[in-house]
Amino acid sequence: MAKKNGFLLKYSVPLVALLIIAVQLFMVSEHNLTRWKGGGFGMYSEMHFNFNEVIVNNLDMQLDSIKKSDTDIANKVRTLKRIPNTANLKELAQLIASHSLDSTITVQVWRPLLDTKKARYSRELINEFHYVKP
Amino acid sequence: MKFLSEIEFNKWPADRTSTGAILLLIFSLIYLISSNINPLQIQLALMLLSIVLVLVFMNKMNQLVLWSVLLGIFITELTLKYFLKANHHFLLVYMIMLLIIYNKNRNWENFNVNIKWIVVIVLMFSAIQKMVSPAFISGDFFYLMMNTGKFFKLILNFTPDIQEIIASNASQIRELEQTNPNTLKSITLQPVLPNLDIISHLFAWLTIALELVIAMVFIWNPKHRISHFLFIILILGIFFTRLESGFLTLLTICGIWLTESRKFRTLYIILSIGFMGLIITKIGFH
Repeated sequence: MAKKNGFLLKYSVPLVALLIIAVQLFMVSEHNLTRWKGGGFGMYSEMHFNFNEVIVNNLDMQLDSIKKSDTDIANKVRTLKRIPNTANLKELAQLIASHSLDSTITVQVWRPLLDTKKARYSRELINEFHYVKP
Repeated sequence: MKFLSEIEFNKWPADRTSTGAILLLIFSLIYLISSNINPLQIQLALMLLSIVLVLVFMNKMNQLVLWSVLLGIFITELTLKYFLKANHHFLLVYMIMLLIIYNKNRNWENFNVNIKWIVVIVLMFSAIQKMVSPAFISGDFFYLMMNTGKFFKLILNFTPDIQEIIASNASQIRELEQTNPNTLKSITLQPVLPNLDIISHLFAWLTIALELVIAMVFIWNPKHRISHFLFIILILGIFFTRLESGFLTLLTICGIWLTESRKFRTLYIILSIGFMGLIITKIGFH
């Protein structure tokens, strides 16, 4: 037991690093976290999250204009580009509900899709959420 | 009572522990100032002032307090902005933790082995994340980065033709982003080089192979000159691909601690000072 504790203590920092990487890989696989973030050393392993696009249907004004006037919404869009999971999609839908012209709000996150043979750049849907206004 | 003063700062640059610690201290202050303080002129003045203060007063400072405060700030930042911080912020925290532990137990061998494992973990998972990412192994990621001028700026920017292609691709993407993705519109990019699809694919696998091989040689022998020769090739490779000066400074400091060769240590010191210069001048990333 003492030997085991000695090992844990001796290599505590690399073990912490491995634990953080395990959490990051779990977040990547279960919550769509971008590989660039979360301490998993996955920088430059996929398209940068700034290429991701957040789309909300039928708003009373442009999403960019709403972001300028509402920092909560701006921060949520920022988070959504990094972690496009259902919980974040739902939270943005709730935050932006007052700007929606429809009774159902659809929030989507898209990422770039490349076809290098044809040099085509298009976009594919990562995740979407339909929220019915209460 | 001796705390971090046991890293004998007055012995640098002859002693590699002290040299690495001094450079890490300077980097920590530059990183802290450049990521939190505005405007630019004040940022620059504070960075230069902190370098002078470290160099003049390094033997009079209570280094335990200094490192603990820095670790406290970096961990607080990490807690508050966990998914916003870059990977080298995590690396910086690990390195400071190891320095603090080293000064508690004075076990150089343990410190060195831990630094080795941290470098191996960084390289190994950097390669694994690339291998399991379809956008990377297909070469798509390199293709997009090259065609939008985000990679090899130092090399590609010399040619006006390529600059023009990059500007045109970037403007096409901006225009596409103004349209709703549900319309499923697409654009055709203009490759900056012929056969870029094949080059991107090869380059992706070359990167993975290099990272894996270096991780392996560091596991085998972190002191061997082949290990450091390859490590420096990787560092220079990253430098020419993208000016990730902050991350590169930390890798070179690890190199200083791991090598026993004076020549390699000198090279690492020169590189780390150069990379920090790029952060200060805002040419590179912090």
